[in-house]
Amino acid sequence: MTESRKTSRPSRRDCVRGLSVGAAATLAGCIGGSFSGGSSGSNGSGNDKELIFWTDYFSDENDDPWEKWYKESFEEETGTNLKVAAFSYEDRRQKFLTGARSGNPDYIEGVLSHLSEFVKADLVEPIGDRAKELDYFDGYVDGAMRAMEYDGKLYGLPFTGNGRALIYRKDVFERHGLEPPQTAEEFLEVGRTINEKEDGMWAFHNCTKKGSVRAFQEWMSHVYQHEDNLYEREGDGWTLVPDAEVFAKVFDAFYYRVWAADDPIANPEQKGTGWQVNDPGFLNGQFAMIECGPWLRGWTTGEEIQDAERTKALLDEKSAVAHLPRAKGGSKGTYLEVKPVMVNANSGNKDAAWEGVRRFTSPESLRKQKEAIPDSGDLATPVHEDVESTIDNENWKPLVDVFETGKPLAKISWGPVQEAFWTEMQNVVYGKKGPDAAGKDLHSQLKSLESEV
Amino acid sequence: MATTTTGRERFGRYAEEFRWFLRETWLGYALVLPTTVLLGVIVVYPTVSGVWISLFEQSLINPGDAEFVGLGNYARMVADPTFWLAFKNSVLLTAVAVSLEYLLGLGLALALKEKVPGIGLFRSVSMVTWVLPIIVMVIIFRWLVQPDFGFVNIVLDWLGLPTTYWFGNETWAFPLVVAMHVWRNVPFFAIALMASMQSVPESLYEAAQLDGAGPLQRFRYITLPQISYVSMIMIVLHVIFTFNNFDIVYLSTGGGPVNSTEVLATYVYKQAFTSYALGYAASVGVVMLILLLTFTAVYVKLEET
Repeated sequence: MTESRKTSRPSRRDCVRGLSVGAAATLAGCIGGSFSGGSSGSNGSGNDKELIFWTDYFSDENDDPWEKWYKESFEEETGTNLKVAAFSYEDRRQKFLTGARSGNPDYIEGVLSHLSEFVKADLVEPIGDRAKELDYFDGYVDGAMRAMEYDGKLYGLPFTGNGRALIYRKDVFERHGLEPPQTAEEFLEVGRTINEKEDGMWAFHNCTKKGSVRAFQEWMSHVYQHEDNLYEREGDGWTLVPDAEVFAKVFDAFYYRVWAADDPIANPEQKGTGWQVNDPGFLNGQFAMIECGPWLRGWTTGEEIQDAERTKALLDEKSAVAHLPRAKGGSKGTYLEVKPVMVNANSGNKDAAWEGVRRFTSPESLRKQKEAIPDSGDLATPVHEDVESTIDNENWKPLVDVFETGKPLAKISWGPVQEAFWTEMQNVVYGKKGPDAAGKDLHSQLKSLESEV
Repeated sequence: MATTTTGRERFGRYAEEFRWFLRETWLGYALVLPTTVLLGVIVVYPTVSGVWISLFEQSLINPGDAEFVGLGNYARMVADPTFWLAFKNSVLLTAVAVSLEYLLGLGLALALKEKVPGIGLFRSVSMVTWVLPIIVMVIIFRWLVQPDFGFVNIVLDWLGLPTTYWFGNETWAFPLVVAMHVWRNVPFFAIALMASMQSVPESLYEAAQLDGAGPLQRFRYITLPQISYVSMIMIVLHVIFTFNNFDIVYLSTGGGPVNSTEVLATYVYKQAFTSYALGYAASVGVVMLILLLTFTAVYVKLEET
């Protein structure tokens, strides 16, 4: 009986041993998990049965038929389950920079500034050899493909692209006998006329929020009207291209005189706002001009839109597109946005990850996207010649010309540059500094970043 | 000889005591061990690692390529005007927000303590702001102050007062950030203080009343001393929470306009993830840690005395 009790009831020592083993196993699990990268696994065995793709495409229900086709055809081809996770671009960038070495995700869709950061951090895989074997490889737009390269190697395939243009209210311009402005002086003159003659509408709005990537892109669009690059490769380093005068001109024409001067053409009460005010403001009829891309075309619903019918009419009949106005000495040019899809260099299954990239960026996928979302702004200026533009409205066709003048970002680490820009831009917008002083200060800061970027 | 025997006996007694000590306490140590190891992994290791990184110049892009700079990051911090601006804003935000939270929370606690019809429902409803996720709260505030269709601006416009995008206004952005902290945390203060007040024996109030103490005196000499311990805990917790808070500022203003709402938490984030300066960001983090540890130690000591 005693023996039996002894064997059937665990002793105190057994309990402690059990607890210790349990704790050790838990810790091992924690530590092991943090290094293995979770579900994707990254042991390099190449036998993983689940792949992870980070993109926020597919998060909209309109994407469903495209997503269904993509997932099913991918899983059928590779025998691997695909898990898609959606994060904002900023979250995605941060998580990838800190966690990609774990092998998770296996491939990622990002923006152009991410590509250079990820390449510098050795986080993405060169895919040139594989890509050149694609029978549709030559059909990608040259500018978009150049944007995917770093030091002569291809690190991503593009799937959407656009250039920043001036989107303006054609009906308002016609009503007052105005032409789309080409120079900064015309732009400011047109702006003042609209402010004077239109009630309940401001002539212009651009993004001035600290930390706004969109604000940075708008500013870069104007810098590209003066130079092909902000930084240029020189030997092993980078050299700042524009001089302080270029920065001063851009600050003066598109920030100081727009927001801070005596007769501003934008609503001074809207300083410090981002795209959340910019785009819906135009779509709701509050602004006559904004700097924007083709995505605006498809934005006719959602909580930001006050009247869907009115917005649709505004986009279809009352809006048009032109090149951005230029400060003195500038020529046509704009920020080229191309979104790359890249393979994680630490993925445990690079073959399947490449297949995911290839399939997502293929002309077939782009056509499926177009079927699912016929007015998609992502395909207004397609990055592959086998795909037709979704633009069928004459007023919006100049977007194609604008796209052709687009210039891709230099392959540097953009974070410190953006931080310097936001500070000086807000100094100008809030009247803390004149455009000349801000231009000089920004130039000196960017010059000092040459060795860091 | 006799000395040797005594020494042996003494050693034997110590050995026996040590064995007894182990026999009696090994279970306790064994039970504490897993938690200690776990805390070591998730608390001690990251903290020590953060302090260690602060001594290096290390980039987020190439974290393996670190250069030892000793106290170089701390020297850079002393000469960095944005750090001092963020430091000033963090201290001001914490001092103003926690003071207001405590005072308003105390007032609300006194109201919630009253036994009036419907007070149960009111107590539950008052917690809503604290339960809301921060992102939801920030979105609500952003909508409230939108230039044209925000409720605040509609009301101001209706009253003939000037309207603006308040988060984009240099003068008002910081007070608005303080207001969000206060709006969110007052109910938590109120519930905690109310619970503390309810544990004060009724007999103390009755005795004071018999001695002729009025409501203010009863509050000053009975309620306040009785809730001081809970007050200390709440203040320490909220000082730490407010000083370290990142998301409210980052989501509402991003530190702008013109750095007017930049605080140390957002500055650390930007240094690490925008400027890639991991070492410098870690050094600012270490300064925050030291400041909060000092505050907590001094405050607790003062409370004890």
